[in-house]
Amino acid sequence: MNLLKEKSISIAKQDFPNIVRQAAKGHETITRNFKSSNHEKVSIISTDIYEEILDRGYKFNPTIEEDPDGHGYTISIDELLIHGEGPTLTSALNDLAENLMDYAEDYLTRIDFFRQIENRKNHYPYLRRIAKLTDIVQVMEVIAECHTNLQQAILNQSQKG
Amino acid sequence: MPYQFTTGNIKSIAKRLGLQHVNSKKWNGTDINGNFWQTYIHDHGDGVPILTGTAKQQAKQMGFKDLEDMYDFLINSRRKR
Repeated sequence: MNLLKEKSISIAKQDFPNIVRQAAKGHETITRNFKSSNHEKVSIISTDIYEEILDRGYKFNPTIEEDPDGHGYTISIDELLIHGEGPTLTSALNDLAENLMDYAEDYLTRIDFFRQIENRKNHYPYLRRIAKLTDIVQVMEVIAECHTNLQQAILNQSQKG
Repeated sequence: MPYQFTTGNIKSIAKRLGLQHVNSKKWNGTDINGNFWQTYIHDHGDGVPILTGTAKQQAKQMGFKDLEDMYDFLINSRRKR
């Protein structure tokens, strides 16, 4: 059983307003250039549904390492090969969020390049989550969503004003 | 055995691997084998010690097995990788 129907690009082009209306309601349309030897497909899907899939399926798993000599903290996200550091947990989280925003911008600008790198091609869904956020506090909250110590650090920072 | 690195050590390793200083903290580039590496270095002065957790992450990000492997690369100037 295949519930998903494919449309050629020329048919999709003619029917595009209807496809967009259907996508907004939750129906996915897959388009494909049947004349090309390149068989890649493109899905037209509601942005809300797409972001819901990313938010549920690509949660960050930060790891905190406190320096044994007490000089600070390193927070890393192994799945993205990225880290941040600082004298306090909050400053390390802030640094990580800054690095993540910078990486997301670079990645989405040069996506053709990054998608060819074996150990970075799977970073896209995580960075797409970051790309929709508008400020660093939101990025910190997303990093901390599965980590109570980091959530507490953000809370302490907001209480200090 | 604990390994201690300074900012200057990490910068020198990054340079030997062909990484470029891209912005205030970010270094990246492609090595002679065509692999892309990217790391972050807080530059508070060449002699400033790097946090242990940060050095571990920098080692991973530059393709070393662990801190020992990165230290071996640092002291062995003939080593290519």
